[in-house]
Amino acid sequence: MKTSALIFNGVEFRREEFFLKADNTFPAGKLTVILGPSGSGKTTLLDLAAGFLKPDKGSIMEGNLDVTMLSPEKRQVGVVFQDHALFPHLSVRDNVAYGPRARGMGRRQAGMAADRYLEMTRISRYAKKKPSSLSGGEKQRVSLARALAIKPKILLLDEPFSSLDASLRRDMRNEVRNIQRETGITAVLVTHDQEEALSLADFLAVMKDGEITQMGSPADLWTFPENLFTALFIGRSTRLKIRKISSLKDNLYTVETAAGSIRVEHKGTIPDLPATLIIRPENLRVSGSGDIRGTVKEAEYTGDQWKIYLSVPGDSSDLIEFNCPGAAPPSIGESVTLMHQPGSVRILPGVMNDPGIRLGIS
Amino acid sequence: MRYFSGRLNGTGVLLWPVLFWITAFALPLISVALKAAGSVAELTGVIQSPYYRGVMGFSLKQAALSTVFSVLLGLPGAYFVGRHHFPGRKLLRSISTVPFVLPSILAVLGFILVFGNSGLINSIRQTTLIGDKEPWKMLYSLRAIILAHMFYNFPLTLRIVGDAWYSLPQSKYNAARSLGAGPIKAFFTVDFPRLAPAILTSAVITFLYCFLSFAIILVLGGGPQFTTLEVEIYRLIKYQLDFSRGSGLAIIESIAALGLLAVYASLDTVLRRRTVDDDDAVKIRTPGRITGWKMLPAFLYLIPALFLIFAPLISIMIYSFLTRATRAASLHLSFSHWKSLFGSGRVGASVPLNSVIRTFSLGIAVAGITTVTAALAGWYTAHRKGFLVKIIEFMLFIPMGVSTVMLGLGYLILTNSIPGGKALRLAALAASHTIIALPFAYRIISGRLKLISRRIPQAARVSGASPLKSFFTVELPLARGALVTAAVFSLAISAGELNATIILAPPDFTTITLAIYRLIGSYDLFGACALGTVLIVISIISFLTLDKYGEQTL
Repeated sequence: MKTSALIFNGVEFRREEFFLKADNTFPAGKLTVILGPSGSGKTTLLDLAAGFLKPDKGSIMEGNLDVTMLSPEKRQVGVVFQDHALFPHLSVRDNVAYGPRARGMGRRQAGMAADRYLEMTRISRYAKKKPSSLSGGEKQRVSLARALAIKPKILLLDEPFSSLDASLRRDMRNEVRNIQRETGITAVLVTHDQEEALSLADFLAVMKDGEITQMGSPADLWTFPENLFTALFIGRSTRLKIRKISSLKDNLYTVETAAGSIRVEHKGTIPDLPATLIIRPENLRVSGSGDIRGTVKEAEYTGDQWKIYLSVPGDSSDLIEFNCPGAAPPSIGESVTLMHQPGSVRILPGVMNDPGIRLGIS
Repeated sequence: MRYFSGRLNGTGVLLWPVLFWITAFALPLISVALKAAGSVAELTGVIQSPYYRGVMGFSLKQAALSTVFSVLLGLPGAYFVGRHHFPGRKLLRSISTVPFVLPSILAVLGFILVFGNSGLINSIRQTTLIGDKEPWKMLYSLRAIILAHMFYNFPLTLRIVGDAWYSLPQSKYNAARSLGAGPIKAFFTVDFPRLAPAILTSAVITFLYCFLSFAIILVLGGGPQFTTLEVEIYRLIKYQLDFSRGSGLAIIESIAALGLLAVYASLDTVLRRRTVDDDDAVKIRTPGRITGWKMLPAFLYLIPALFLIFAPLISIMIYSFLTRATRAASLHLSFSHWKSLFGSGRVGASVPLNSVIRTFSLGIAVAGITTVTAALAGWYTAHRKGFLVKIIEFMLFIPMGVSTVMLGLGYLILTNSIPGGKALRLAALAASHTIIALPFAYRIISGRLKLISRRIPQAARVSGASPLKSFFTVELPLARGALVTAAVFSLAISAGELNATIILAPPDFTTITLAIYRLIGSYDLFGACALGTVLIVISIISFLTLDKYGEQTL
């Protein structure tokens, strides 16, 4: 399958209150996951890529080809819809054969092509059935087969697993991952489920209020979030409001918070206050000689470890979260000191109750 | 959000529906208005005349009484259907559409057979009562009109209010009960205010139907004391050829009807505003079961209600196989009316057979035009938003509220003013039927088209289909059920139409309804029943199609 990157060049799209801006490249042959809360514009971005919507400004490219003004049927884009959008009056096989037929293939050939993709998505045994008799997972497989049958250069998946239950979701996730790797197709998948995003993505893009705020490998976004939104939207974090930052020596600072003075290694310029200190739970452990102090507020048992939440005097938006292995967690109300690696801490502009940082996680 | 590349971009599809609406609906009504305006003196004379005031008063009175009794009879049924599970609940709900698809002339015929001087009820009385053999005289009275209107309209309340009741979340009623309200208080403080708009809607529709009722008044009323505006207009134009006065009355009638609708619209807004749902209340409800003592009122209600719906229809079918040599002779089995219907043994066709052939030819033409017109308009309104859509929806709504006799009058004025013989009359007849069927056909088709997810045509487009191809291979097949339903329903409406037909049909063009009307007039009830049975079969087919595909849209 020939494949090409999906490129948004200065794309702008406005509808009443909503404003979308995109200036991103979704790399060829890779699976990019767009993660964002509902209403952030993920689906609109896909609709623009598919040609269901036209941008007000800018251009959309499939590799070297400008497709901005092309109607959906002239693009080489396969779409897997959230609600499957299978044709209810056609059999599973005819659903998959619809694309090849519409693109001028003969009936027999299209049928054979359909069979191939039904096999690939392991749904051949239902070829003669009507979509209404299939389960959610089976419908999604048909939808995937139908999208692939037109040999698209780009595959768009709009919350494809949202209607499936947890175990089926994992199976389908692997299935999509494998098919994407085998075919080497450029794929863009939209979701609001961060676990799904982290486990699937070659590249991860975080979207908020109509804009992609950060894009990179999942590990990059996890370790080096560029903004508070990304840091808090992906994974769990300890967040502490910064009162004062003073320089110790090259790249080493002391940061004053309600939980104490914390040593931080920071490259580049230090942002102006207000700013927030972000520490991932896995980078904290109990130690008598740590910088961070708090009182145990809650302890949750998760099976393999305890999740402990500490409160600190002062601002209620401050929250310390860390993991504690073993059977005996500190008890509620106990005072705890935590140690951290100065390099694993991030100083990010803004604070949680800043109206600019709405999480809106659904 | 406007998905402008996802679909065909055609405002052009509206060309035919709009042109047709202007010629077949607006133009006739404008001619009536012009005719009425041409003789203002006549109009004031009409308003001042005690006779016409009496007619006006009677029109309102019979409509008001019919409405009160229809709604009262419908409400218990709505309660059973809306709040209980019992075997046959769905069936009862479906059956409530029967009068909806039933031509009014059949209601009249069935009514005579059941309640007439030598009808079913009087026969039962005569065989069971020993002393009093005097027949119970029912026909040609206000009582007869009201009873016939009840038969025709109470299922409307049962259906509309029953559905509203069914969708009311039980939780709010339960909350009131747990807070200390008894069942009656809970009903009146919680459920009733939320049912009020539905009750009002069913009452207003019933009132309009009864106010504009034609066949029932024409046959069962009789005499100047039981005449309504609609029948009076018909008499003026048919027998006195007085188009000016007819137009004047038609305008007065329309103003009254529109005034009622305006009052209704504002009242409805007020009622609904008071009961806006505060949340997306989860509509979990566990309907009650009819057991124990509740069986008695249920049977006391259902048996007469079902009798009222079915006795007239069953009587028609049974009587079609009976005959009576003289008026005093006893009934005996006979196929003579069915034989004459199929013109057996004779050269050429009989009047009844001809009427069936004519009804079907006309009906098929009407069904074709109506379905295409409704599909074009429905496609546009399902895919577009904005002002134009609202206008189209309004245009396709108002023919429902306009007197069909007035529509016929408008066509008559138009066809008289331009040359063209029988063919023009027939075209006018077909156009009038189409305009009458169009609002229903449009609702059925657009209701279905709106249900198709916008993602489905989009899926066809990314698969490589052009807008046109997507329409023919995906959207059209998905709407097939609705198109068939609309066509069948239009045919049934055309076949059962009497009001415009009696005014517009050329002298030798007798349809089934006209034939039935004339046979009733010449007391040949058995012959009328054979034709009536044909009409019942058409209605049943229409009912079944509607029940399968399109019921939720009416």
